Amino acid sequence: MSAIKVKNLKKYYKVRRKDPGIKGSVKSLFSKSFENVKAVDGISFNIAKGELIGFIGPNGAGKTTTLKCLSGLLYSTSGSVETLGFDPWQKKTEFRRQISLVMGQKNQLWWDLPAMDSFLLNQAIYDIEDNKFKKILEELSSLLEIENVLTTPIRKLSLGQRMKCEFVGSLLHSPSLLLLDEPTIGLDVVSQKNIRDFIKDYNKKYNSTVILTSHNMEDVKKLCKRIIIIDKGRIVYDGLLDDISKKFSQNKNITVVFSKKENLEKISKIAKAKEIDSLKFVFSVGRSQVSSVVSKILNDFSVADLSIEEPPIEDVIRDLFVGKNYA
Amino acid sequence: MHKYFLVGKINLQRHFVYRLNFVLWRVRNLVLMVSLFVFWKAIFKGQDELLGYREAQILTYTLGIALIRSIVLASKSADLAGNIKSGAIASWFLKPVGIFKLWFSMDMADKILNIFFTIFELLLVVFIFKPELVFQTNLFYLASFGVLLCLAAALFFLLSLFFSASGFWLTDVWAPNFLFMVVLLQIAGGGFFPLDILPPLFLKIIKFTPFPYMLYYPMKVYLGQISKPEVITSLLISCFWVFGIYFLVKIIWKKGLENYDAPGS
Amino acid sequence: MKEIKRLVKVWLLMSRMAMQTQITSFLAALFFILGKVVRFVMFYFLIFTVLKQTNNLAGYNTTQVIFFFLIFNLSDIVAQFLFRGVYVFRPLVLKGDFDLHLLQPKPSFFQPIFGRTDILDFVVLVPLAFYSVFYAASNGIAGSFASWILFFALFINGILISFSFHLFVCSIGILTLAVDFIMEIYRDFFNLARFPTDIYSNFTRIILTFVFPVVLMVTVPAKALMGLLSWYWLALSFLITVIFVFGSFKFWKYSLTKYSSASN
Repeated sequence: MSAIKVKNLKKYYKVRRKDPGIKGSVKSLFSKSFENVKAVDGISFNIAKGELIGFIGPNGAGKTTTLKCLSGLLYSTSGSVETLGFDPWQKKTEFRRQISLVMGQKNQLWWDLPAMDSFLLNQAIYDIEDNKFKKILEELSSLLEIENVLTTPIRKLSLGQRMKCEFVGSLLHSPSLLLLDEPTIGLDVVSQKNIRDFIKDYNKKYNSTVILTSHNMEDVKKLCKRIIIIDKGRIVYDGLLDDISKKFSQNKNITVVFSKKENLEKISKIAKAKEIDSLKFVFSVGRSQVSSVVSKILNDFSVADLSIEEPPIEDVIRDLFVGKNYA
Repeated sequence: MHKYFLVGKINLQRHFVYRLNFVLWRVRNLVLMVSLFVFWKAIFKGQDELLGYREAQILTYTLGIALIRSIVLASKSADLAGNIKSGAIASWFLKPVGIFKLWFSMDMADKILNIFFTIFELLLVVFIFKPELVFQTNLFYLASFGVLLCLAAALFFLLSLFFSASGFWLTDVWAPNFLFMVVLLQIAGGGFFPLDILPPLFLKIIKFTPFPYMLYYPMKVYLGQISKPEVITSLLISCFWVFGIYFLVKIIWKKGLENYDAPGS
Repeated sequence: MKEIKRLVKVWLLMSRMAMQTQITSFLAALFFILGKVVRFVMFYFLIFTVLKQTNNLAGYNTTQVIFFFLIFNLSDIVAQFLFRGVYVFRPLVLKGDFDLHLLQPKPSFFQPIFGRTDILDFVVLVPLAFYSVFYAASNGIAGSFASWILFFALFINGILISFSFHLFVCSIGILTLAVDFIMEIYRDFFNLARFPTDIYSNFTRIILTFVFPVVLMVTVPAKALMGLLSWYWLALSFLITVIFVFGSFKFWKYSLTKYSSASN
């Protein structure tokens, strides 16, 4: 059963251009010059209920715009979007009761009041029964360790605490679709892990569909099996995370720890070292040449440790975005 | 010095960025001017004199006040309180600029633009309605008018700073701004209608506050409707308020900064 | 019906929360009320003094003119009480927090319009309402019992026009972020109704009836109570309200399609 069906979604914007300085300002009063921005340029994908997938892409790729179209915030220029069986743009009450879009820097909690007051307001808005509300509030606040700050005015909390409260506020109505836009941005390492674990548990426990965008590869690696890579408004890859390296990287990493200092020139004749840290060398070697390089190293040098790995996802993706090597 | 000029220039540009905003700002000023003008014309239909004013005098008052408002009043300094409340002001302290001078240059940019367009709008109204107006020729009154105007502008700026400081203590900064800068200054200060129309007791009381010295008295001096000794008195009282508020501003800002806990992270 | 109950409950809760943020400063509340009172008193005195001399303004006597003034204030304050959200809508859009409201199961215009109820408006509204009714009753202004019914109907009609105007301003706010000045222009036109609008030229009155229907919001209900309203004006008022309300909703829906939502 599909939770999300997107077909050829396009979202274009008109942005006004302005030259700098006062002359430019006056000029812009009289003449209009627009630039057409193609935020999303024809993407299609389906997501089944209960999936936890990651959207990744460079800044300005169209990830957030896609999420906003999925939730009904933005009116799509063309194409079709079906979320939980609804047309999100219609903004039906039943639809909005089941979704949540959490965006890192945006706030819905009232600045001068404690989080609890805002939570009660959300309870009224979403028409959540008292028992259910209490239960879920306890669960969420203990998971994110904010039980003690619920009665402190939001403006007195630190950024991390505030974001956790916002998070809780967005989930009180137990949405079956969770859209998370950079949920761990600006948080300390411990909080990041808390939120990550929470998302994983939530997804498993409630079988809710989760779409996550993040620049933090830790989030993606730990949570998502399936990844959609977006760049310049187009889907570049839609598949398993593990297959990314295989698909995009021609190389593998060989990490060698030598037993003693070896002749650098001799080493470089066999393979180019990507990283050197005293006795530890990391080589990036073409897939077909891995076995020959490994045997040569083992033959010619004394090696304390050797391992062969796929290059880290971060590197693959980074190279992908930089080199635009979408084979 | 150059950096303040730059700030003023950038502030000017901000107006053009939101160009519809800018056009509406001018339309708004025009509507305000015209609505008061039309009101008095309607009241004076068939009357030669009302409450001590001839039609020409009261129309001059209405249009003149519009010009005086553009010279004396400014809006940027009003934003200051909001900046204090949100903590945005903290970032300014980190930069090597004098914060009062900064707001002054932003106000200046605002005023120059405002005055330029207000004159244009005034001429438009005069052209359409062709009212009879009063033109002051007496040197004494003109000179006093000029001086009073400068004092008025300074007084307004200082009062803005004074009430902006409420941002240090109050969470809702809109209220003191509303009471003092909108109601007392503009309404009770002669910005809508001349104060001597009302029962004399009112003027007797408000004369002791700084409010009528920004709009009402400059206009009355221009119209030549108050006696020469009274002109001197109003000049002196204006000076008194300018210096008085200046010192109060220094004190209150010092206190405010000491207690400030710059909200936001 | 259940929907409306839920929304009213939410609105009351929001108002209570707003009150909590405001009552943190008693001084601010005092200033606010004082400001409103001073403004009211000053204009009241203006009318009084001007009319003491002229005795008549466009054919209305002092009592009637004062009543127009009272209805003007009433309409003004009711609109401010209900629709204050418009004034804080622009920062909401600029910052992008409006997104979060659009995602919640409530009408898209709920937060922009009703999102900032101020208890102080209510505090000022109640005595004014009582005084207005008392003034009308004690001065025998009302034409008949039917006049009162007509008055209330037209007053509410005026509030609906005000609503559609505020909604229109919110739409403009989404498209161009120019909310503040339009509201101020609207208030400036509205202020013209402080006095019976008959004093203005024909051209001005046409503007005030069909463009900024201030006449329909203030003068018409007041005249209805005085029994001075013709059927023509009655029909016109309701017709214009329907057009305005319908038009403003259509425009609001349109502006949402152009909503681009501030990026993170």
